[in-house]
Amino acid sequence: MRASDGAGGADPDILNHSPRHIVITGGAGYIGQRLVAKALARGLRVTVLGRSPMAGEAAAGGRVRWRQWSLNDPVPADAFMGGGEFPPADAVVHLAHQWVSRAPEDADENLIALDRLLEATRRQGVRRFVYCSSVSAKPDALNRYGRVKWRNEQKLKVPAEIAARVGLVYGGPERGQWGLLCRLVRLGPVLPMVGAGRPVQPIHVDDACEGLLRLAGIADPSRAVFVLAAPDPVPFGRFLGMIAGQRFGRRLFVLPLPAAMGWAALAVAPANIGERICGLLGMTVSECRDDLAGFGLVLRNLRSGLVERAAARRRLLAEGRVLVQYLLGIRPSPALMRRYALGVLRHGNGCPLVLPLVTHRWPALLRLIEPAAGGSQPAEPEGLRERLDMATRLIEATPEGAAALYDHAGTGPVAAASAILLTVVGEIVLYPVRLILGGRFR
Amino acid sequence: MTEPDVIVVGGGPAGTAASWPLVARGIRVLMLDAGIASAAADPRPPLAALRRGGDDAWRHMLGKDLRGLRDVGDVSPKLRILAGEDFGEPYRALNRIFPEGIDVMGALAAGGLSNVWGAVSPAFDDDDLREWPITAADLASGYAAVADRIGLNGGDGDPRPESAYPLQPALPLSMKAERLLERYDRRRARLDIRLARSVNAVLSADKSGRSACNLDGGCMWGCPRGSIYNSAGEIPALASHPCFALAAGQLVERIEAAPAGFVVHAFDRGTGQSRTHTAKTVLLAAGAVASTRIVLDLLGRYGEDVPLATTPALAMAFCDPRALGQPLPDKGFGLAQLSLKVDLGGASSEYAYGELYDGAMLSAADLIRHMPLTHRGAMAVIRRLMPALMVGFVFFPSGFSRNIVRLERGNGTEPARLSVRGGYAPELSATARRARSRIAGDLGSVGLLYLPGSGRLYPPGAESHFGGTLAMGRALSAECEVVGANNLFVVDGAALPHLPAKPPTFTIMANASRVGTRLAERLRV
Repeated sequence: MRASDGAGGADPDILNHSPRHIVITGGAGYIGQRLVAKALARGLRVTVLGRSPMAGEAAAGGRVRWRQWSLNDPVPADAFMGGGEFPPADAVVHLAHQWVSRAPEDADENLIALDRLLEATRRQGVRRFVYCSSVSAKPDALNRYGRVKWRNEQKLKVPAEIAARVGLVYGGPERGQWGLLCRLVRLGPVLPMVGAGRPVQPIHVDDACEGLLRLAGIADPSRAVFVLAAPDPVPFGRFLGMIAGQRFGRRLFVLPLPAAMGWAALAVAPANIGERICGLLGMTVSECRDDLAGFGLVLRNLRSGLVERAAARRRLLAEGRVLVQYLLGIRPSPALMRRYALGVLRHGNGCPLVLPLVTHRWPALLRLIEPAAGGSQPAEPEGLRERLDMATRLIEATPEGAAALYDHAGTGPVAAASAILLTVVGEIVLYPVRLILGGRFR
Repeated sequence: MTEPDVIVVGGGPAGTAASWPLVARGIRVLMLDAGIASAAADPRPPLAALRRGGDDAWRHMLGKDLRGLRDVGDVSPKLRILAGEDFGEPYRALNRIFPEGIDVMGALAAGGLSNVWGAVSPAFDDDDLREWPITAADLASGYAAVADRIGLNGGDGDPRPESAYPLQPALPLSMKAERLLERYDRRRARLDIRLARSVNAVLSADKSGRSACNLDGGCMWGCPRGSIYNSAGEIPALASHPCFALAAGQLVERIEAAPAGFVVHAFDRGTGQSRTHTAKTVLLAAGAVASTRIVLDLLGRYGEDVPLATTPALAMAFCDPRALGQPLPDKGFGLAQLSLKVDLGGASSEYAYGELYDGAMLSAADLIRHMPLTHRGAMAVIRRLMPALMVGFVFFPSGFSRNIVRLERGNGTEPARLSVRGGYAPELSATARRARSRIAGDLGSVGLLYLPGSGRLYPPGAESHFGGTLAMGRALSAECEVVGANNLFVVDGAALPHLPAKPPTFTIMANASRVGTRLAERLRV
């Protein structure tokens, strides 16, 4: 009820039906592993239905148990039952999905598996079933994945059974589709890509898991389908560039290819890839602001979500060195570099800049690429200008910086006026260069 | 304390000014303040020492937690370092204030915005008060009482309203400012602007346990000596009266009228629980925007657009060429040194009011970020320019603002929300440009050169002068009593019908003192 956390204040009634024992299918997958960990961290007991036993099952102190299941099998009889320290299951989150199927679409394994699961949960009276669907779910989706997800959604009966349409999941260990994207952006400085302009709605894997857990506990869902995705879509090509920049510190140029080439590629691509290309080409935007606000979920900022904190800190220390060397001409002390990194992590957006490699060797070159001032509000988030502002404040409070900024001896009016004039003339000469180069480094 | 006679909501300058006359007559006052008692200000070395660098200079210049690195946008430089976690977003969140296109700054700390104010204290004359249902004579004893209690310095015999009140000797000006004033005095008949020493709520002589200003120049980084008036400093003196009690950490969310008086619903920030306080009479001084929300909620005025007055602010930078290349002074005064007034022409006698600061007492980094040069280039320029720099902030009367507040019901049991939309009158940019030219022209003719391109209009609310929402003569009586809610009074900026360009705090305090005095008489009868 208190709005002081700034997160919009969740309605407490929504959250007071938190499950105590949750069953997760696909618990070994990219999202599944995180979801299992989060559920355990919340103090829940978890039953994982999957093909192979969980690693670390023993380590979780008996709060997680595994039951053998694959999409083609009948559901194990005791999957949802209590036993030992486990109460009967009060929620199921169904993440398992098979991307490639040899069966005809009407007999897709994913359709059959859901029928089986629903039948079992309804028989057992499990209070809540959350089906992990996708923003691609549409009756006429270009890819089978989207069509199958949609057909499965139709089988759910509100209020016990609901679907979460999850957007493009990123972050965490490089597995699944996220791992695929990470490998893609590291192939080289230029990446030809179809569907570069298609809108994607990224969501951090931890935010997605948080959303799924909240849906598992939601008291009285008003509808069958909830969207867990970024409210503001990002063009796919730009998203790839952000992954390269924020996560790997590299510049990536995405070369947009016409959609026709994507269709042509389907003929030669493996089925898995083909499905994803179709999905991308058919992507539309799903409205989700109300859904997120409804259960008080505030998604983390995309830029910060892509950055890994430990790697970010290392890169920020290096960034601090470059900026201070540019401003003062001397290397900063380790303490000053640490203050810079800490300042950016705590009071900035924590995302390291992607500065051209030459500036790491010759920081003075930064003068050529400082963006020409826009005057008022920056359209982009924190960029080079803002970081230089921070660095200037930091050096102002050091002996070397203070010596550069504050003249306690005085040089007389003529020397001062000439120095100012000389600097201003130099800046005027530099201005056109900055206009051209600086625009790319805001 | 048994049930108090009066609850005062807010321990800022207005609430404190209203409490004194009540307490002096033995009326039982309970002050509710959102601030939680916190540690005293860290002593800081003089600015000159900080500027020679020391290994620990960063702690004082940026804060232990480096909060001086925040991008707080276009606000007063003081807000960068002095505004802690209790300022800004937490204030807005707990007070359910949702701004759009306007900065609404507030503080949940003891002393409120007097922790970060510029302390310039002009008094309003009858012309300034022409839209008010009271006159300057009505405010005179309030002004005098406040001036006497908090200590103002300045004045030079110039016939200004504030010269009528007790003033301590003026603090010395910088050499640039002295020179400017001298040259101005010689040419004043030929100039449109009026220039004079500022009258500030800063002590030039020790008073009531606070030390006189020692010109250490670090005003922008806080005043641990207490020379700059901060209402938090008055609480111990008030608390020494047995009829006064302070309940700290109380954020008032709602006031309810009851048969026996008012029930004040507060959120206790210490325990996280709700608490209620009751009294027959309530004086609201929670800050103009917060008080407005509370009163509109009480009166059930939902969905109504209520105009909010602010004073649009313009920044200008100047250079005194004769001070170029001078050594940076070791001592100086970091708040406003000179005040200026310029008529805006047109039908009414509206004017713009400006304050000139010594640029040498500001943060070089703050100046650099506004220069259209590379950082390296700006550093080289600032080093030579700072001793010669003067920075001006010019305010325009509230007739040029076009802000609206609207109270919306909360969802379910959530409290009501106040949305605030900011804007300027279309004629402001032309007026501001003309005023800027006139000021630049006149000051240029007395040797202070305007730096072209340095003129910038701030977003609405950046100057934190708010008023007009519950004006005397409209929503309030001339005694500041809420129409439709007897015994509820509003004594902060919300009560002011109109804001001339002059900073209003001294006047708000004088009015609060007036209302407190009249109320005390009423209650004692």
